[in-house]
Parts: sequence; structure tokens; C-alpha cells
Amino acid sequence: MMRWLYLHFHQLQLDHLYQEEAFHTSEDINDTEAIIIVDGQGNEVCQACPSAQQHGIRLGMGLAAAIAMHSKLQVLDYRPLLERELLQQVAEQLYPVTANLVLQPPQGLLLEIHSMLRYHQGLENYWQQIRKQLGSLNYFYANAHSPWAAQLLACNGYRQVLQDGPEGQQTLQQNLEHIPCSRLPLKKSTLDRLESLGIHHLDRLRKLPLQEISRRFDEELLLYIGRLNNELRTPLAYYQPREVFERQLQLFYEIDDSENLQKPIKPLLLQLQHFLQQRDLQARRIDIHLKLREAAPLTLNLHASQGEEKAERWQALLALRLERLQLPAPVEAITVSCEQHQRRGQEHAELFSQHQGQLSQEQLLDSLQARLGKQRIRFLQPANSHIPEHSNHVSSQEEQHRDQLPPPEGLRPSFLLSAPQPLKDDVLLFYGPERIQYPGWENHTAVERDYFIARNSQGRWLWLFKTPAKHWYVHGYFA
Amino acid sequence: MNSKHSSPLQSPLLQKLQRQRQIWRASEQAPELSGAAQGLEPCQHPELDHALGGGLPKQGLLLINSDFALGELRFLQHYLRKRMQDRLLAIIAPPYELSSDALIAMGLNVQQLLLIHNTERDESLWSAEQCLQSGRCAMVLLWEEALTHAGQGRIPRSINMAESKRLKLAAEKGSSTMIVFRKPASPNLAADINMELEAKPRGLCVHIPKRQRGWPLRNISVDFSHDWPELCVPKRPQNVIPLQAYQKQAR
Repeated sequence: MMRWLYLHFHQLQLDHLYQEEAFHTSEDINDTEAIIIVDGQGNEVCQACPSAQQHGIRLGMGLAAAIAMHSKLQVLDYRPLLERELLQQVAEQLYPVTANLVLQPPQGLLLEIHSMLRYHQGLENYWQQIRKQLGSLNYFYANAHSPWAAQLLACNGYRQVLQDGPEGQQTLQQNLEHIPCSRLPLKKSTLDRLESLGIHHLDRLRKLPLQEISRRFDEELLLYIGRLNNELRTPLAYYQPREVFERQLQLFYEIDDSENLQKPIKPLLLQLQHFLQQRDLQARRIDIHLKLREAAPLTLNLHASQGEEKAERWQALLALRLERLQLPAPVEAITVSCEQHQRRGQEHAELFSQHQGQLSQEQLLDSLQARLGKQRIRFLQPANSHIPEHSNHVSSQEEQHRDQLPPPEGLRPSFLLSAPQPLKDDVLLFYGPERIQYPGWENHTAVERDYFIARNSQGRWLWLFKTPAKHWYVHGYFA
Repeated sequence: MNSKHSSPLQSPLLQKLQRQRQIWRASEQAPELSGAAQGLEPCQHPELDHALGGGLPKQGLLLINSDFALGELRFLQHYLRKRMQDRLLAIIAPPYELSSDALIAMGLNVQQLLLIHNTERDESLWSAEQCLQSGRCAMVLLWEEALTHAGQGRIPRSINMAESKRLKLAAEKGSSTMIVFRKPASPNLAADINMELEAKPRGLCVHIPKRQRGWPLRNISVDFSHDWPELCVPKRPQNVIPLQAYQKQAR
């Protein structure tokens, strides 16, 4: 029974690079520039783009040899950690289609397909779905009766999905037989021994009785053969989707203008939207980390107090935030992460509201805060003090139910000067005095003032006070 | 009919002015409707409400040309309170700190006040537009003085015609009201109503040099003696001369 499908992404890092490049430069750059990815340890080419391959560069070639073939090469370091991350993302893409996934880092993905076929009505449909999800990635694939058999075929460059049945079984066995023993994922000493015994291909190895193998070789080969033939169970850890969204984008070119950041971040936000929609979640805050060249990384926080999943809306907030951002150094990489999310609430219950408008109050405040910053958006609160200077409490959030003093007896001016100004105008006093006294403790100075309401010659209404030293000050205006 | 311009109304100059909405035609005047249907909100100053046929426009752009602290906020007190309902009142770049006690005394719910301050000219106008078209703000108050004074290095400018139209459209979109406080005798903009306030001992005198769907009006008095007795010059008997005036006379 063909239970297992193995996908081998042999140039994951390169594919990722292309995807990234596609939306951030014009499309024809691929033709001109040849890219190779070189494994730092062995100093050999491990991934090469088609254009590099046209110039005769083959995988496994040394770096020096590759440069000798074509001088205008763009050489990148192989980054296994990045591939691991990318593999996670591929698994995330596939998860809606197929339930049982096993990550085989850095480049492989094992799928248990048998249980899924019923939902997809046959292998054909299922395979179509998988291909659709994978999109433009390059990969080898094979299905087989055991996980390791599928892996072995896929890693050896097969691209086939066989139908279950005697015919398929026969092709599978034939294919397996032709695989050289040197390609088995075993340790070097075992492979060398097989070679010296003259066992070059898998068919010879499989013909050996297991007792013989156990006598001549260590346990590793025995286990492997047993699992390859599906005689032993293969222990597998199935993939679980992550609860935290975090995506990194390594930029192909450095960006030093904050406005140009929008474009590369957009696909990340779309991925976020996808992530959230699949889980029926809304994000309340997302963090965008910008890795800068020769400067401390920068983090932008975007808030949506109501929770938001749409990339469009986040992008609008981002645009506002970027407007007032000055980059101290060029950006090399971008990470979008979202840790605060919540279940999606009900859609706005404002369908029948008399006020039209597309935004809710939270959305409006989010937009304003994104462009102006939190400290410039304030709510006014009466504070717990009768001294005019401290009677206002300005908060950045809406706060409710604070302890309040009863409103003052006397009239208060609508505009208060933050610092009283000496009186200069000619005025007529009309109302007062109202004495405000404060002994002065904590960090406030003592206050003893007699307040008057006055009108100057232009008809302006002022709030004045007289100090015990008989100095007159203006403290507010009645607008 | 062969002549180029069959009627004076089709002359290019007039058409241009018409496109810019600089012309108001008496024929476009809507038939007399009740205040509510016309979208008017009484501002509780009987003489003014009567003159305006019901009150101030419920939405759109209102210009208030006045010296500072004559009573321009008190004048709008009832209008603000009634229009606010459950929505926000955005206050952009006020000249001084607002006192919550005074606003409470005006009958406003201070929890619905949204203060936006320390903004530059562009930011102020942008915030105003956002608030207006969001539909979440009933009104936006803006002091033009802040636009003409604030900003380092930027050219201070008062609101121009294009910007005023933009604000008006935003207000219509969110069924909200934009109220701009300006200096006396500021140039006219694409406003629904343009009011000049003049100080009077017991209140204000309102002139309306321009308004939509109506003729200009002059000398409408607004009396504060009922709502704000402390902020009115008390009527004094004929035979009493204030000391200051007396001293001046004596000199």
C-alpha cells in the first residue's frame, strides 16, 4: 500500500530568494544574474539557479571551479537554519490540505497520504491539491509503501506519484532496486563496507537475509532495511502548526528609504492574514523588526485595539507609521511577528447605526496613533484636585469611572494657561473673588489666590487672580 | 441660438465659477422645509435660530470668525451638546489647555473628548479629515491660528479653498461637522455657514456674511445672560458711574 509521500525541496533557499526578488525588483533580473548557494563547510555549490547551470556550473562543484566557469556569479552562503524555517512555512501551507505531516529538516517533508485520500476522492485530486499549495517551489517527490522508501526515491531525483496496485508496486520495486547503495542515508563506515563487499545497488542488499546483515553490520543498517521494507515501524513526530506567527524576510537589496519598506512587508502581512484566518483569530498587535546594517535593530509596533486580521488594514496602519519613521541605517532583513491575538469577535454590530462611516472608534484611534504617536492623542479627564493647574487629567487611553471631586462652585474658564501670565490689559472685574488655597505639600507649592472674572476692552473674558502680594495674573480665558 | 453664448449664464467665466462652486443661485434654493428636514440643529439662541430658519447646519463646514475668548465656545454650547450624542468630539490644536471643569459645566461629556495636540499643519488637517470621515466623531474643532503659527521650517498658511472643500466632503462622508475658529474677517471658504462674532456686553452679535441656501444676515444678537450670568456685564442703574471711568473722566 502506498501510504507515504515524500517531498524533497532541493533548492529551498534559492526558491525563497526568487520569490522575494519577484516582488521587490523588476522581473527580468533572473536572466542576467547567476546565483549559486555555497555550503560554507565543504566549500561546494549546493544550489544553483538555471542561469548558473547554463554556464556549466554543476552541484557539488567547488567554489573556485564555479567561479572559473562564470565570473559574474552572485555567491550566497547556505543557511540551514533559514531552510528549516522555510520548511516550517511549507508545512503550514500544506496543513489545510493534509493532516499528517512530518518535518524532515532541512529539506524534506513526509506526508502520510492514505488517510487523506478519502477526503480528496483519490490520489489524483489529492496530488493536484498539494501541487497547488506548493506553487512555484522546486521539489522532487515520490510515494512508497514506507517512509524511508519514499524518502530514498525523492532524494534521488524521482518525480513520480504511483497509483496503488500491482503495476505501481512493480515500478516502485524496480526503482528502488536501481538506487546505488552509496546514496543510503547511513554513516560512512557502513557505506564503505557495503562497497567493499561488492554490494553496489539496493537490490543486492535487499536480497541478503537479515541474519547475515545483523552478523556483518551494526544495528543501524538492520533497522534501516527493516524500516525501508516496512517490516519495522518508523517512529515519526507529526507536525503541529505553530501558535505564534513569525516570518522573516531577508532582503535581497538594502533599503534605506522607509517608504520603500511597504512593498516587501506586504506579502508578510498577507501571510499573517492567511495565518489568522485559518485559525479564526485576530491580531491586536504586530511587531515589525527591522534588522539594520551597523545599527541596533528597530522595532515598530502596530496596534489594533479591536483586533484585526486583514492585511489591507494593517498595511494602512503601517503606511502611517512609516511616514514618521527615519531609518538610521539601511534595512537588511524584516521580521513580522504577532504574539497577541484573540478569537475573532462578532462582526461590527453597527449595521443599523445612524452614523455612516467605515471605521469603528478603535480603528480611528489606531490610525491616528499610528501616524501621530500615542502621546499626541489624549483623552480629557477631570482630576481629583481643586487647584486649577492640576484639575485636568490627560490620559492616552479612555479611562472610565475615576474618583472625582464634585464640580467646583465657581465658574472655570474653558482655556487654562499652563503657567499664569502677569496681567497687562485694562480690565473691569465683574465677578469674584473666589479664594483657592492650598497649603503646599508633596511637590506642589503653596497656593493662595483670589480669583476674579474680568472683561478687557476688546470684550475678552479673562480669569484673573491676585496673590497675597497683590500681583495680578491671568490664568485662563472664557471662550 | 447661433450666438456663442446663448445666455449670460453660459459664459466661460460664469461656468468656471460655477464649477468651483463659488456661485449660489437663488433658483437652487430648496423649498421651505422644517428645520429638522433641512438638516438644521437649533443652537438655542432664539433670535439666531429664527433668522437661520431653524438653526445651524447639522453637518458640513462651519466657520467662526472671532477674536479669542469672546464666548465662541459658549455660543456653540447647546449645539455641541446636542450633536455629540454618543460620538466623539475631536479637538485639534487648541490654543491653550482645555479645562475639563468648564467643559462639564457646558454640559459636555468629557469622556467623549478626543484631544489631538502638538501637531503640525499637515498632521492637523489630516487628523481632522480622518476624524470627520470615520463617522465616529460628531464634530471636529480646529483653531486655524495653530495652523498659521505652528511648524518649524514649514510655511504657515491658513486653510485654502481646496482644503476647505476636502474637509467639507469628509464631513459629509461621515455625517459630521467641522468647526473652524478663525480670526475676524478671514477670507471666505467653501463653508456651509460663515459667521462673524462680535463682542457685546451681554453676549455676542453675529453677522453671517455667507451661508448656503440663504441670504447674508447681519446684527443678530445672542444673549448669554440666562446661561452665563457671571459672564455678562451687569445692567447698571443710569446714575452709577464705574470708578475707573470716573477716574478717567476726572483726569
